[in-house]
Amino acid sequence: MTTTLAVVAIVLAAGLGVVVFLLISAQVETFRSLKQIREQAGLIDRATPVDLGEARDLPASAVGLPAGLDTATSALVLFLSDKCFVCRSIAAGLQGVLPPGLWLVLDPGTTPEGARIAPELGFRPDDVIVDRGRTIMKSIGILLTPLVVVVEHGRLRRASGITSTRQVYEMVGALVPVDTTTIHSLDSDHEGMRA
Amino acid sequence: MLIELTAWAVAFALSGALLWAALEKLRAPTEFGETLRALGLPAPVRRAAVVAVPLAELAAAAGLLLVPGQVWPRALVLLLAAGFALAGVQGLRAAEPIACSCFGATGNATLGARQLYALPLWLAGVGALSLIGRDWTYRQGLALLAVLIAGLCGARAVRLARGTRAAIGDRQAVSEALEPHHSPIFTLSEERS
Repeated sequence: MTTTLAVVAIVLAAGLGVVVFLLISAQVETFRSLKQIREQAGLIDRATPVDLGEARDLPASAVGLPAGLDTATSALVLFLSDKCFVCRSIAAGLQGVLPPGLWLVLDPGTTPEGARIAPELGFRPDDVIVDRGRTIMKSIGILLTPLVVVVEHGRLRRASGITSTRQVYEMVGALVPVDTTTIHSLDSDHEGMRA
Repeated sequence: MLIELTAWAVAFALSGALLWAALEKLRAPTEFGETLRALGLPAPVRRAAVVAVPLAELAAAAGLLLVPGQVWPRALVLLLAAGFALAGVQGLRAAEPIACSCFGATGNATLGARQLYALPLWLAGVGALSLIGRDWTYRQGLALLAVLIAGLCGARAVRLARGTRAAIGDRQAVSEALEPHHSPIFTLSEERS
């Protein structure tokens, strides 16, 4: 009797498993369809590679970035502009915290000379590089924002246009371990660039 | 013990592949029907095959685990493997790539060399089972089948989790793009708002 019950239980469990499998598969297909629709509509959370051109393989300091980046094994430089609404969202999304390996360059756009970083964003002025006049971006040759430039062994390797805060965190997560002591400690010779 | 484990592993692999393929084909028969149409099967054969092939896969998958001593599950696997290989040949000969639908509608594979490469693997699996794998009871087989189905559900759930994560990311990105944060990054005011 017990054996029969066990067999029945296993049969029921297997049958239920089949149903669960079919339901999960249907859900997977729904997500696939949703992705197709998003791709058609251009609503995909995907970084777009941008050619660094002649700036590729240059040392970070050669384009005006802090010399501290020249010794970074792996780091990301995030360029945000005050003129770009998505940049404002990303700046707000970071909640004032720069994860290890992430350097933030802010372009004040057309804001007056005396403007400061909005306190509600929570960034410490010493952690942020202000690229007034887009000097750094012009040196790199890309005026697109939001932009992430990947620095490996102190040199600019590749760049991507991004669309969301999530991509920033994903890219930071993909970095090889970095020497965090070199991060967020801007050089004294870049004092003028600080906010 | 090692021989028994090997037999279980081989039966698991063969049954798992067949069970997955069968359930996916039964869930989305239209895509499989399109594949059969692209292979040039006449409509009556196609209509029968849309049901018969996944049922045969289901029967073979269950038979390999539940009645390992019987010959028919292994013969059925060989028959199916031969059919898959023929479809692969036909796929290679076709002017346009033919969608595989081998594991249902969620893949993007096309019929071709992979079905041919798979044939020796099917043969090896059946050969191995013929030599070593006949030593478990119906009840043990039933338990193995339940475990296998749970495993398939787990594998599917992993993909579902990835899809969910991507969808959430897309939704957040779209929110950031369509309803951006309008507060400026720079301000002339020193006071906190």
